[in-house]
Amino acid sequence: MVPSLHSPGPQTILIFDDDFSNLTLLSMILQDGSFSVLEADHWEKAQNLLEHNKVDLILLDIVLADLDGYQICKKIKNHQKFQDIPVIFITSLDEPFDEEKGFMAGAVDYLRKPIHPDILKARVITHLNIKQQREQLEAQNLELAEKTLAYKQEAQRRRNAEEELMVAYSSLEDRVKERTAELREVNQEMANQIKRRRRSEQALLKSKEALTRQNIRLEELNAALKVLLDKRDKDQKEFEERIVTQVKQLVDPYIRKLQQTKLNESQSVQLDILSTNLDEIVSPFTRNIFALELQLTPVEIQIANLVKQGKSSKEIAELVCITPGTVDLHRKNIRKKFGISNKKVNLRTYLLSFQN
Amino acid sequence: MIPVSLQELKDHLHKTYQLSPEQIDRMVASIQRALTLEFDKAFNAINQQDMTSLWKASHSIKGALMNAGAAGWAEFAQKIEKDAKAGVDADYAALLNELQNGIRDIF
Repeated sequence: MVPSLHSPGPQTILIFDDDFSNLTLLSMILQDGSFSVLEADHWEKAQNLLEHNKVDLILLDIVLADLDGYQICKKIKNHQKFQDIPVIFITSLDEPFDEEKGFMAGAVDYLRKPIHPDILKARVITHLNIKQQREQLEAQNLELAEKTLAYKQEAQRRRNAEEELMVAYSSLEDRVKERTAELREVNQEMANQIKRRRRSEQALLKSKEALTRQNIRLEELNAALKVLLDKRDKDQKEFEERIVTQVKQLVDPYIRKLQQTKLNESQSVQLDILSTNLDEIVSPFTRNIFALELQLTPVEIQIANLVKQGKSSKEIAELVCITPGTVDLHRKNIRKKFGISNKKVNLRTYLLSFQN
Repeated sequence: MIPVSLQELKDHLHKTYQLSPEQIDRMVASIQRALTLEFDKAFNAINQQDMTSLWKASHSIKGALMNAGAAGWAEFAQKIEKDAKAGVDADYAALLNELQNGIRDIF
């Protein structure tokens, strides 16, 4: 049984024989649709056909008129373009030496005449399949070589990248170490600052608490002092009022009675002195009462006393060292505070009336 | 040796190579042409005492007869080929005549 041809298209076979009957017979056997046949009966024609056709296999006779088949086969095998074309010798030479010589010349097979069509086709198809497989293997080898080269280049590229990465990694590690050391120092400094700040905060808190306590104590003392001062002012006022009241009720009536009696000049003078001195003693209390009640300023109180003594505005201005205009202004304010503004009341008489 | 007939040749071509009648006719013509050419070469070689051309022509005749299925006459041609190749002194013209006579029906 003839094996099947693996190649999809018809394969081209060159039959090289100078015997017309062989050429014709081989062509008839092989021209069954699977093969395209080219015929040559001498080397020049065969070479021309090889140059201009894609020949897949050569059937070659050995005994030829000029060059023999061995020489032709060697020429083919030495030709860069044709060397991969399988050559099968077909001959009627039957010596083992001839067959060996054929293989030594580069043939892939050796067929003896008479030709058996099925054996011829089987051998031809087998060698065409081998050739096709070899070509596929070569293509695969080429592809594999390209892939291997690409892989090697890729591997080299990766090695280079890895080396660069290692360098970068090493540099990065150094930077990380430096940065870590810096961060550690900064952290330590920050921790120290935090500690100092906490200590300061605690100290501030303690100071604040102490101040708060002190403040509370001061407020309490202020309150107590205020109470004491109020009490003292109240007591002083009561004391002054009592002195004035007692002088007016218990001393003044008797002085007036004495003044209405007949006294000698000396006695009269002494009584006046007594009365004046007593007024002098009591008048500050009375003045204070007025001042407190009328809210007179110290200057107004001073001016009021000088008015009461009968001093003119000019004299008061000289005594207090202010202008007479200013004295008049204070006199107006005093009148206003006593509620006698725009009234025909003498200020001195009004002030003396309080003394009495 | 029994001469070869043209019908035996055609039967052989049909039986062995499954050739169509048309192909058989072409093949017969081709064999006849080849044999004619090679016998001419062989006789010329004898005349010129060119033993190389003689054994080559005898070799081609042998091949054509093998294709023709004339095994006995092919062996006869092979003997001439080998003797000529070996330089054996023989009456090659007579041998070729005997061969030619044996296969005259297919010429």
